[in-house]
Amino acid sequence: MLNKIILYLNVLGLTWFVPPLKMVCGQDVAYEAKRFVRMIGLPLIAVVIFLFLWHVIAGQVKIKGQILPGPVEVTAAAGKMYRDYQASQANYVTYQADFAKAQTEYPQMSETELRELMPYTAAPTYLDQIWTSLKTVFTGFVIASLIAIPLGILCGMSAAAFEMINPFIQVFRPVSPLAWLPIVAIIVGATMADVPANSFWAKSYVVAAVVVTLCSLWATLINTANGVAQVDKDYLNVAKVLNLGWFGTIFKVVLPSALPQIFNGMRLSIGVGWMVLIAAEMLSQNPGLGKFVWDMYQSSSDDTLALIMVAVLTIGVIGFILDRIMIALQRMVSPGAMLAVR
Amino acid sequence: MKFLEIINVAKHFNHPTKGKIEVLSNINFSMKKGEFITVIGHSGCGKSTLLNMVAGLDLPSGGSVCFEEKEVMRPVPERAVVFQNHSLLPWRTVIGNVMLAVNSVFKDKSKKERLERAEHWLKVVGLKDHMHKYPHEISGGQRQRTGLARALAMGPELMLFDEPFGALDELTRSQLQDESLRLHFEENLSVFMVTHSVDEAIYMSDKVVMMNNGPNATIGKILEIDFPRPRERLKIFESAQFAHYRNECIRFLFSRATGGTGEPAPAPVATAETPIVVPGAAPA
Repeated sequence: MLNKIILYLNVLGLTWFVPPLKMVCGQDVAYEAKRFVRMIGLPLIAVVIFLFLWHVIAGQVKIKGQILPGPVEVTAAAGKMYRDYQASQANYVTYQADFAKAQTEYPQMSETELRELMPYTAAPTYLDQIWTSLKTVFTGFVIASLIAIPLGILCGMSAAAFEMINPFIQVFRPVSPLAWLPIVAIIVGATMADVPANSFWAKSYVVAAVVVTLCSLWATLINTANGVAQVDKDYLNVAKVLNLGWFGTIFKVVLPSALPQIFNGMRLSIGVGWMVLIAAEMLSQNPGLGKFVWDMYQSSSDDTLALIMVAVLTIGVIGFILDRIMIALQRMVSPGAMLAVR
Repeated sequence: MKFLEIINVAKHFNHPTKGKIEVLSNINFSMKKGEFITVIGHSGCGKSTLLNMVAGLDLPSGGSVCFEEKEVMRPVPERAVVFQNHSLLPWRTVIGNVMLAVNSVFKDKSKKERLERAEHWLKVVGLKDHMHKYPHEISGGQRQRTGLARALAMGPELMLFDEPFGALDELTRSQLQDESLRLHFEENLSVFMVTHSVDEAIYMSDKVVMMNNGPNATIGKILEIDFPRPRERLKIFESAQFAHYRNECIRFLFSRATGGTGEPAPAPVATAETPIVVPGAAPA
């Protein structure tokens, strides 16, 4: 039982939890304690040293008469943001109560009519913005995968297809999101002119998602092509002898065999996508973390820098979590990892 | 009806820097239904290429391979291959691997019948208790048995063995050889095998086809093996006739390897792989 849990933790990349778990269960306590100190203690020491240096140096630097925010100021800014969030939650509760009251007072009006008359106008909270960013990056990532995986399979199966697609990969892959954005914005702006700004498929949202797609699909494409091209020749011979056909060979032999590589590409893609997203949101004004950073940059309050630093940390932590999720998914589809857990 | 005929087969590959490389040329022999034929030769002489051409995985550059009087153009399940390194799909269980073959060949049968077929052949090769394990959870011998069951479950006319026992330890190898012989006898199989083990070739086959060294390898000699079936390992390995066959093979393979004419024969050399079973019993 314990071994199975440990195996799962390892597969999911949650190795940090293995030593404490084993220590709690009384297994190899001395050894695991040592491992725990190495795994958690050393990074912790580094973080403490970093925070200390940051605090000391920040206190010395003056910008436009203000000190550079140190860890204390940033923590305070995060606390303020959390209180703002609570306040806006309270606001929303009041609004809902008001709305319910209005519904009883004017029973002849439908809910949609009433919502139009008294809309909820408060600015999105920080959590709303994080959620918007995640939705946008996910949309772009899904579109990228839907394009890149079939194309990658084609490139991996046929050298001719790869020769034809390769120039596009080489030329478009290094293009910065900032160069794509105006093109995408103009095209989307023209084709989606009639879409209202508050719908789910708002223009800014589509622009940011498409830019994420354009920048992130290459990693998945290249890795899928590689994975498919590297499928063991013996497996392909098996498929031939069994007369699996084109379709059967792809779905029963090629795809399962290339899955770890495909997921590796998707992991790189989502990393690139998350990085690109912030820039795309700044320029397209999609109400996510990128827009938050941009708005803070434009406003000049005392805690601008501290708030942006909170955003930077948030972006980093979310990127880290996304990466961890992709690693876990990749391990789950790799033969030998998840199979061993069964 | 003629079963398998290999007529004037030649094969060359185009190497990017060395140009055209002749691998095989002028290969001629035939095989009757129910026979067990082994092709033996030094590594790199093109035996596996020959097997691939019989399977249809590769096409000859000249001449033709005819199976049941039709030219072989592509692989079909009637000529099932047992691969050198088992080639089981690691993400499928033992029975999953066999089912992949059964599902593909017997599309018109019901799910139940197909499952029964897969289970039957796994039982025959002795994997009844390991059907739901993954390839990495079973031993090398069991993996090779799974490969055998996968090929048998396709109901083939001809079984192609591409050095299937080469990677196994001595004891497991003997065991699998005996079981393959039993299957050949009981199920009336026709087997075309490629190997580099002299003992294995003599013990198992009706005919040993000896290839000389590449490039441009061809058949040097065909040795008819006249042991009754079913074969008994100890009796055969201890017989004077076995030593005789063995010396014939070794003389051929060694003289060709060193570019000699085949005469005079070097004394049989005991190696770790092919120990001399009956010293002094060689009449050669």
